[in-house]
Amino acid sequence: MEASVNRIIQSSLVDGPGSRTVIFMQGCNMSCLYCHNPETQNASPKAKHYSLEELFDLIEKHQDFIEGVTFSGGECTLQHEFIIAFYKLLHERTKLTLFLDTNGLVSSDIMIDLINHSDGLMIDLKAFSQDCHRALTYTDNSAVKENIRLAAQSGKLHEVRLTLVEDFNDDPDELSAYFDFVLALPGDTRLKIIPYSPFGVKGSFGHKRAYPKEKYDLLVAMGQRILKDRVLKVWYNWRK
Amino acid sequence: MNSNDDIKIEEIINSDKLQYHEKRANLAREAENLLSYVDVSDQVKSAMKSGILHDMNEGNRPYRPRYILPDYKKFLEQGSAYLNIEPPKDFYEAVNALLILYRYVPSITGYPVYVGQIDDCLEPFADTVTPIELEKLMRMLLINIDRTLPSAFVHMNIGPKETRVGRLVIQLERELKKTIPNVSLKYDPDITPDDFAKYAIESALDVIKPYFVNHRLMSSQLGDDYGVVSCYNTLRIGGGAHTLCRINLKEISKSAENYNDFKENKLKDAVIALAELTNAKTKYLVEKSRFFESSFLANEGIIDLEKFTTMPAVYGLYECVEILSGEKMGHSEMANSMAEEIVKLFYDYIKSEPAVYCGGTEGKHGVHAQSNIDTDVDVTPGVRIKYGEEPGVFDHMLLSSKLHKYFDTGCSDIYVFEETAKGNIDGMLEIIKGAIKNGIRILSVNCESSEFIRITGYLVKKKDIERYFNGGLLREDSVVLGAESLMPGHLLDRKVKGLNGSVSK
Repeated sequence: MEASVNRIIQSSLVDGPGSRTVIFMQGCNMSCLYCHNPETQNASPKAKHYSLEELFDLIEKHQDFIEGVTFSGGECTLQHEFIIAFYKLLHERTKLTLFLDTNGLVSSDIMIDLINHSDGLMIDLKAFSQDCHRALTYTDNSAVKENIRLAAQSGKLHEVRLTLVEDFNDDPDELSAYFDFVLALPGDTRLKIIPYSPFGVKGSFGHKRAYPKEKYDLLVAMGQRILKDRVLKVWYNWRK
Repeated sequence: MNSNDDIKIEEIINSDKLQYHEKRANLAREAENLLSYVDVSDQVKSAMKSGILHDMNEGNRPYRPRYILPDYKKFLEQGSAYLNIEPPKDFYEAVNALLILYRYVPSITGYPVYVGQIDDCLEPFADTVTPIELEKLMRMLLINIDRTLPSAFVHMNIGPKETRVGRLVIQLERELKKTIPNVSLKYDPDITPDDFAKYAIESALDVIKPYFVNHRLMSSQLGDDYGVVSCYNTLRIGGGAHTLCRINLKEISKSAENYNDFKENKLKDAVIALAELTNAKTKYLVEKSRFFESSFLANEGIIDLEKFTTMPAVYGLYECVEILSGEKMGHSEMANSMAEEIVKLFYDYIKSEPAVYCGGTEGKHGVHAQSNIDTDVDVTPGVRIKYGEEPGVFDHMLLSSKLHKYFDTGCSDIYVFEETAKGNIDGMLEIIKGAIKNGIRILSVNCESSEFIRITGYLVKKKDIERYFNGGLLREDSVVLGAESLMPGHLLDRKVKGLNGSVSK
């Protein structure tokens, strides 16, 4: 069994709890207009292939420095069999944890299997209404919402993630429904709100400006009124 | 005196760039250098001429040790007859006593490179004042040090225990955002509470201070009474270093026919010359200039010759390995192994050379990785990986940890993290614990957006560097060094760690 991997980042501090190594899997089942890693979307001859043992060796030698690994992408659930096998190996031989960063577009059977074979999940809900979701990703979001519920019920949902894209998914009515959805989830599910940034984005969207701070603060405040401290704010000073 | 000397001295006196105290320091250097160099063999002279051996421009006739670590705690307990100071009874008197003594501590720069293990010194007096007074006094102490000792080589130590004084140093340095002093936190995961370590990490990501020192490793080699001074030099409190001379591994490798010739002949010859120069300077300092006989610090037991040592050093390992193997450290197992083999060989060679007045490291030379000076071009500091060529951060740390253990008088690496680190202090703590567990000696974490920047071993503000290049007047002599260092060392190419390609999907 082999994984098709776009790249591995040894040290990430933004892909789940603590210090983590992130494995960006190759291939995706959405094609988001604002994708920040478009090179991971399709199968690519540049992708590297790792057996379970090869990947494990890479991770094991750094185990003093990390809390665990995060499978990201691309869309990691497309390679669920590999991930499940890797989870078993990791838990058998180390104390490291395994997290998934997924768009949630996967059958509920596979999702349940993955929930049982991971320590935590970050799931994107890219837009609340079907129209917005389709416009941004060319896919339907019913399965995503259902999977978010499943993950929340299991207690392993680390956070839901929303990237605010100007004039696409930031309409106050749209967001209000989004926040209510998160509020109704079992457990104290947290929502990370990320402002769109143009870095890495290809095509016409690459020219779209970074999400304005004033608007971001306003919408975060709106989220906080509904979700209180379950809203996680992310604002980097990349605009130098 | 010949006419060249006349001109040089006149230039100093008539300069409109130098302040009075800078003129005085420059004149002293010129006076010292009117005398001939300490007696050394032709081999040493030729090694210096060829660029293999470098004396760090310490001057022709050493008359004070390069680095001194006064035992400030002892001074506070006993007072000083020379300075007519009684042992302080409260925090006010203790701060006053320290500020007085700082003015009397020599070093190669003219400013003390060590201002003490400040929590050990002052915590015993912390109950003599109210918390508000305590904060105010600490603030005044830190500002006073910044303004009166304007050299970024000035270094303060705290930890590994959490104390009120230690916490205030971190809090105030973060708030005051000034360059001086450097601050090192002795860190031991078993002694330093996580909460305190995280407080320090937050500060380090903001203003680079404090640096994290592997207390367990350090105390196993030098005992608990060690200090971190200047740029990453680790020496015994009450002691110091007579001198620091260094060999350029890059130049040595260029002179070698092959790796074997390098190991068996060229490196060995260079180490012999390095030891001879180190010993000659040390003997001159102790026996001819009679520093330890004339200094009241020594007479009153605030320093002790027995705790001093030397710190012969290497630099340019990266280029050396590249020349000898054709491969890059950090990116090839073969280059990594060669790097460790060279470092170990250097350690074995220098430890077996005769050493004088090295009681601070059990009678043998101390071993040091020197982190460059402003005139170095195309040569990487110490045993670091060239800026911009670093591998993934954990591979980098694993390699550092193999190399650091050989350098009992200091070795360090700088790891730059992305701004996102500020949002995940728990993750940063895990990384630092991993680094310490794996034997990294001193580590500084710097955040990409920080307004401070580490040059080769010291710290300056980005703003001041810009000012320097725009011709503004600067108070800190090390800013001048820093600005020069910035250009040849390609520091701004340094790789940012933890860069995450996926802000969102």
